[in-house]
Amino acid sequence: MINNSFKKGAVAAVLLTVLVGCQTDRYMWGSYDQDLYNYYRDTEQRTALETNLLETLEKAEQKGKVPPGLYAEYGYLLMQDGRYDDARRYFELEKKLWPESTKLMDAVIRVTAVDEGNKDKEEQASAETVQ
Amino acid sequence: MQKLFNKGILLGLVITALTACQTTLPKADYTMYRELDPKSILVVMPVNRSVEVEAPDYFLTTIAKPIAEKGYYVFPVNLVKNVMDEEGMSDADLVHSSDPTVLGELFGADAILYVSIDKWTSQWVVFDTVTTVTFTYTMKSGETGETFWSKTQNLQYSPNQGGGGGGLAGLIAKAVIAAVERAAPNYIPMTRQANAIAVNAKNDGMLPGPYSPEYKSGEEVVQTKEDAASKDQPAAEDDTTGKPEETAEKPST
Repeated sequence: MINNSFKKGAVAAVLLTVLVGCQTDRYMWGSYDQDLYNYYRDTEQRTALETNLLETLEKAEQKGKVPPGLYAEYGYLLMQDGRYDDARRYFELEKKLWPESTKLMDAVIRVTAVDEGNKDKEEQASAETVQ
Repeated sequence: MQKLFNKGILLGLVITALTACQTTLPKADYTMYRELDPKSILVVMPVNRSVEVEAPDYFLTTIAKPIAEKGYYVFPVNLVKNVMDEEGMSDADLVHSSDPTVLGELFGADAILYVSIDKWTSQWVVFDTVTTVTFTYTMKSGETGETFWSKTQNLQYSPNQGGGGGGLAGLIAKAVIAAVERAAPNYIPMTRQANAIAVNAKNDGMLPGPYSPEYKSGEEVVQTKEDAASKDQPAAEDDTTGKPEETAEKPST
């Protein structure tokens, strides 16, 4: 009897270990965390971060779940690249999927508009000086 | 290659042992946590008490995943870091000592997670290297500013823990392994593990968030049992808050 319950316990312990070990992710993260780490270590890894992030987003849209924050992370990289329209599109996607992000997304969307305006002015100014 | 594999197994064992110990700890008080019921979490730049200048940046890359997987909305860490830098909030010590409700309002965040990197070191000991990471997590309400969850998590790793071959050859092998660890310490895998343990700890980890299937199961029922027991049974009828745990109450024998 004692032996039996001991066995039961042992089996449960093994099962628990297996379950914890096999716990799968809710979302499809791809290599986002590793890529971000590589980028912080070496800024030349930025392209890899951006390329892989887009790949992860596309994969997650098709056969998984897009994790919180990833649309916005990608949008921010686009914004730094000066691709304002694309950036806004991803900020909107983040907002739609995660309403919790609304306030921050609205703020960065406003920033893209200001940045874009500044860029246009700069271009105009340089065009005028050329003339 | 074989050695690297052993390293992984050992790290796994150490972590299993640590996780197993968690169950013996006393249960944390979740009253305020339940009341505040946060859904979104803003992680700000960690305060660095270690000598590794890069530690806060590196830490940031490891924290979003475990918290999101626990069921919360986690604000994009790289975007937030850059926005805060641009807004003149790049000093982590200053940010940590300022009013959480200001950040809560600014970002629309239910909660703010402040992390202190207490240890991030790799030390040479006789024929071995001990790598240690210690983090203190403090979660404050973005609405009231109150601290509703905190935890300190320590993780240690030494590559030669498992013994290994004896004699001179064994000693040399150990020294080589230790030197490899010293040159490139396992900070990131260890930090990821420390976060996972802290977030998921049975008795004092984070509660499952709104995107988790375990949200408001278990923990919540226990508390409302007492609430409901103090009232009379029919009171649940005219309850307008409509919280699921109110109806989940079952008489305990």
